[in-house]
Amino acid sequence: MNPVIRGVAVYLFVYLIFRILGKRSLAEVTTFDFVLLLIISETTTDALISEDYSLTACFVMVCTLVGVDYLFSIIKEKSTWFQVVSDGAPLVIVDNGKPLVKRMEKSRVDEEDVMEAARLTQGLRHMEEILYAVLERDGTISIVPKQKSK
Amino acid sequence: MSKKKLTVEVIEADLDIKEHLKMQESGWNFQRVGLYCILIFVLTAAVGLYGNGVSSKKTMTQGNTRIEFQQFFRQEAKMQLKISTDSHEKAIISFPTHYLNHFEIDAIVPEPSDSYFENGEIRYAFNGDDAMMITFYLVPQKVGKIRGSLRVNEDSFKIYHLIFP
Repeated sequence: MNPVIRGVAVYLFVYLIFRILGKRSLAEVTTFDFVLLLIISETTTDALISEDYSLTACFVMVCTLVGVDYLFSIIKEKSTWFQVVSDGAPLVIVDNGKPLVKRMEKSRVDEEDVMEAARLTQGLRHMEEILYAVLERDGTISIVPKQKSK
Repeated sequence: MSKKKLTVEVIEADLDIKEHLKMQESGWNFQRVGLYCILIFVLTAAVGLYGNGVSSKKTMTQGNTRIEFQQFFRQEAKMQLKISTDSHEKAIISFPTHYLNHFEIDAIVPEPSDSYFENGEIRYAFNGDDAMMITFYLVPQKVGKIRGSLRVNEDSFKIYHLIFP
């Protein structure tokens, strides 16, 4: 198969898989997730290069992957719809100390994740101390504490 | 015009962010459908819809000859075509050239004693005085349907494959 088609197909497939898995798929990488990522990268490498180890094939593949990624970034800049569809949008998951359960369920985030982010980034101890918790586009949780907003 | 109801809490946060809740809802629906698709893909792969499984393996018997091949397989992956025959002298296996053009022959075990072209066919001859088991290791080069025929001495078989990229 043509290396450009192969590169685009693998890029789109991996993109689609991580979009399906959601924002949190890479936000908290455990040791096992890291090993899994290495296995995935090894598997996709084999599919990308097949048995063609030539320099030309390598250059074509790198340019294809970078090119598709660049094209995606341009489309995201131009179209809000495409940006939200591909990367999602920030989502408030705690409002004035109250967890928004349905939003958290849909985003596969639980209160433990929010409190972990609150402890790590703001040194907070209780949910009531949080004014807003926002699930960002990259899957991280940002915390706005109550006292700082005043 | 019907307005789709949101299934999550609607709040008014004092934050400079655009939540695009409707699009987020579509995204969550897409994720759910996507997860089912992954599940279906894995299950169909497990039963061999893309090769190496029960739904892919096909066996045909005619006379003293039995062949086993993969109906579904993948491009550039090595598949086996097994032929067992009870002819007690010489076995001649013939493939039409147009069929073998779609494959790279990686190996033939055991090696044929002779191979030649005749009447638009490629023929492989094997000597033996007992039941023979011959395996062709074929690597599909084409994506899509491949139809062909295979003849072992007088026994003829119609074979077909569906090759995935």
